[in-house]
Amino acid sequence: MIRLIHIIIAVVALTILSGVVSASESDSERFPPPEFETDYQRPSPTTPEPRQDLWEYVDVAVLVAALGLSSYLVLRKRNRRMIFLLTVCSLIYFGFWRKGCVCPIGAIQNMVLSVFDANYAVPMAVAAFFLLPLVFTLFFGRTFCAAVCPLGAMQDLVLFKPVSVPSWLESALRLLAYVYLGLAVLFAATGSAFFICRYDPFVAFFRVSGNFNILVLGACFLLIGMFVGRPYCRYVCPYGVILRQLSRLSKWRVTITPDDCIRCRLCEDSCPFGAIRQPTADWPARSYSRDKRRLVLLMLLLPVLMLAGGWITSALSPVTSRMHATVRLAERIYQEESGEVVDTTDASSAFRATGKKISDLYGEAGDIRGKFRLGGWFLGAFVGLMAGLKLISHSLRRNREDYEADRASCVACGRCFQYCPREHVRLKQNKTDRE
Amino acid sequence: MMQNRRQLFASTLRYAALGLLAVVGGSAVAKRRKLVRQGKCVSGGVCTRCDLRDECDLPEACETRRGPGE
Repeated sequence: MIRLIHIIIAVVALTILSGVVSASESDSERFPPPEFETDYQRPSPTTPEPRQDLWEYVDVAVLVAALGLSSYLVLRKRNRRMIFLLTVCSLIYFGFWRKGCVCPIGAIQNMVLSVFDANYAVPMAVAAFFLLPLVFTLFFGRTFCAAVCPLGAMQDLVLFKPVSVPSWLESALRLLAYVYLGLAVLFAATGSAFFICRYDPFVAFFRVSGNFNILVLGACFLLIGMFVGRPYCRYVCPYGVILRQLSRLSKWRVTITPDDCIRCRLCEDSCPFGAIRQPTADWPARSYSRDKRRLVLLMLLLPVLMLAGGWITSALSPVTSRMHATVRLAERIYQEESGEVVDTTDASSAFRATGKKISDLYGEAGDIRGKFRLGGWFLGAFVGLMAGLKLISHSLRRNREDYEADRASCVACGRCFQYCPREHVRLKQNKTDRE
Repeated sequence: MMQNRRQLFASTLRYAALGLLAVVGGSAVAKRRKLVRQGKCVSGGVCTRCDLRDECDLPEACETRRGPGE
């Protein structure tokens, strides 16, 4: 226990040290302000300043320490109180101190852009932030979500009176995260925008500034999060989609009870995320044949869903491609040239001042639209595939003898340990042994 | 038996995923090195905090080294 406290103190001290240094560094700028005086008021930046590589590696070291500690607390110590303490520390460091940047969720886009843009190299710290939680998940489950992710921590802290979400609604809402991930990949791959960062609902709280609409969105998530456990993590988080799939393969996982389950159902009531699975009853023979027919039907439906999804999303490419600045500019120039609008914008005036040919701009915009059309097929097929697999998973049954935490949905928060009577017996036994 | 088969399958997939992540990480490092070798900017044009600023020959880095008004 004392050793654990020492580790936490070390992590917090490291946090403060790196933060102080980064604050002193942020005074210098890329270009110094001009010497002539005007009435122009320079806006203060709303995004964190870039840091020296060394301090980015300190962030990575803190991430590794936090992931290791979280895994230890969840799987070995099984201590909800310490997990909660680490959650608060992570929120302070990765959230309020580092202002929510770099984060593994947004790092998805950097990784994608690095694949599709020949001139972009992903910073090493960003790559580490993307990869490390995934590696930890492959071995220890979603311990990143448990106590390291600042977005999850924020929602965990406001959880007041959780209500259970019906399973059909839960399944349907989870598809949103796949759509969000697909869109984020599409926009990053085409160089349009970092969609996840732009619409991050909590980053405005971390930076105590930002777009009003995003602040309202964040407030809505927190308000819903008072009654529905971690709504962003469950239904929107694109990184959660990847973690969910990888945690199915994890070597170690959360076990509710330290030994035998007495089926008291207390864990089921304690989980605010609906991640506890009940023991299964014997499967009646007639139901088996009916479910088998349904499974075959759904497997035949899978390619249809993928094609339909691809076709719909590809057809929406004129709308989605407007996310790219070049397409927006080309549309504006077209409107101005055809007389649909009479005034000009700063962007269109600046374009004309460059002397570039309008036909070149239209050609460039056409190429980008083509990429969106092609990408739309992949995005739609991906969403169709996930929807089909979700339907198929409802037709499959796994034999469970005890109450179990679902590998994919469990965020390893440790609430179920706290409620398990067998866990209390174990703790009492440990205490007696120590005495 | 069933459990063992499932475990073997999960274990195979786990290490395959780990290998994939290693490839992703390795290719990110390789691409960065390649761009540096080609003399391309890997800091998004932000020179003041770049470790390669002193050796970099790109115009922005030279300008940053010279300082304002020189």
